[in-house]
Amino acid sequence: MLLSYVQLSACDLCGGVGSNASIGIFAANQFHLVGWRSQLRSFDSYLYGIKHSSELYWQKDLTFRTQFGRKVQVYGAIPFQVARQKTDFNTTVTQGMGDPNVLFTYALIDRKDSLHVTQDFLNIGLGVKMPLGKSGNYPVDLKNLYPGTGSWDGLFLANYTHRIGTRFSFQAEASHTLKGADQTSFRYGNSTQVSSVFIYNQKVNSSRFISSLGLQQDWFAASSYQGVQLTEKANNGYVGSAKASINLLTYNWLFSIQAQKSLFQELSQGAVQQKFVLGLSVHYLIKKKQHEKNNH
Amino acid sequence: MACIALLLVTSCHKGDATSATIDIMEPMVNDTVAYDDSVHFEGTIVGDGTMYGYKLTYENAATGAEYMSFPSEEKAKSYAFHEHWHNQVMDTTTVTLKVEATLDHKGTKTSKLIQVVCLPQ
Repeated sequence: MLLSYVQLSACDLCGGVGSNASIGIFAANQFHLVGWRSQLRSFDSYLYGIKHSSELYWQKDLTFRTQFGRKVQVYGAIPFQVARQKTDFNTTVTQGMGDPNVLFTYALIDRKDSLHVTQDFLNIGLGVKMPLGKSGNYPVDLKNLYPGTGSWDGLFLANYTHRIGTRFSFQAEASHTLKGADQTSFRYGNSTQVSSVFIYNQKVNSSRFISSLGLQQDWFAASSYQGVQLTEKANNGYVGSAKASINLLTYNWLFSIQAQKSLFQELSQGAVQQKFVLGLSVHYLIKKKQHEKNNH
Repeated sequence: MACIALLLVTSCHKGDATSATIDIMEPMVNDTVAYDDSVHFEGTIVGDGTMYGYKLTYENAATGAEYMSFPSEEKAKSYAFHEHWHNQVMDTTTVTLKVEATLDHKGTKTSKLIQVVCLPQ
């Protein structure tokens, strides 16, 4: 989503929505961060065009970001997820730790003006999601409800930020996730995400108010089982969404609210519809020590 | 006053269904189900108005004994169902799978059934 962390859902639930990495609008900042974020995602599932169930996913992550020198950043997250599926007859709840992930990024371009304000910033990233979370076995379990996928996934990312005047920035981001197979040879399809946002920031007393508004498009390839691509409920498709965030950056804290609403979508041949995504996060900023600054 | 109350009560239920189309996609009539396999019951119910729930039942066709049922009181104009029952019968048994929809607030029902043959071990 929009914040300065790896946005990665451990489980490719209901069509793999939210399964790509994102480092978000604070990519060009050089704080060390530790934090907590919470995200609510809602879906409806359909059978023969009639609503059959509703799914709600509540994911909480412990996150960190650290900076090595001026160019290298490391992002990481340990997720915990509670998923609920409600049908006409019963409610199923699955919860547990998700798959932790780590992403290394390198700043290819970091152009600053005479006041040392970043004007252009291009970051590229490489990461991995580790199958350490709780995962289900296809086709016995409701695999999409589980917090982990049971697979090693490779993450690739590029993020470009351009400053426009004193208060606006534009950011474009693209990411791709290469999915591995789990122990039963089930493999979610690879996914790609592109997004662009306009960012507005304004100083308010000793804090900074930062908001963003943009668009995001996700594509998901079909899942496969034992090497054969699934033809039904294959988690493939696309989602186009509008997204927005409001952030308050104080001396040591970063508070954020994010929202995402799909504009058009086609997931699992129409069997799944994403309704909304809401997020809330709090991060503690660890300022760089003086000798670190001097070294730069 | 009584007339107004009656009118209000009547108007609250004016969207009730009077009929419903029940389609059973799975299983097929007289399907044979091996021991330990799952009997997959899937289909749709589409009403001409709001319905007041439905019930899926697996029962012994000869004795009427109920193996499993799934009742729902969800109000909706249409339903899609998808449930399973695990075949562990001791003798060859004809099992009736029944869908029963509640059409209105008075409890008027409509139903459809299908039979399959379940095999023992």
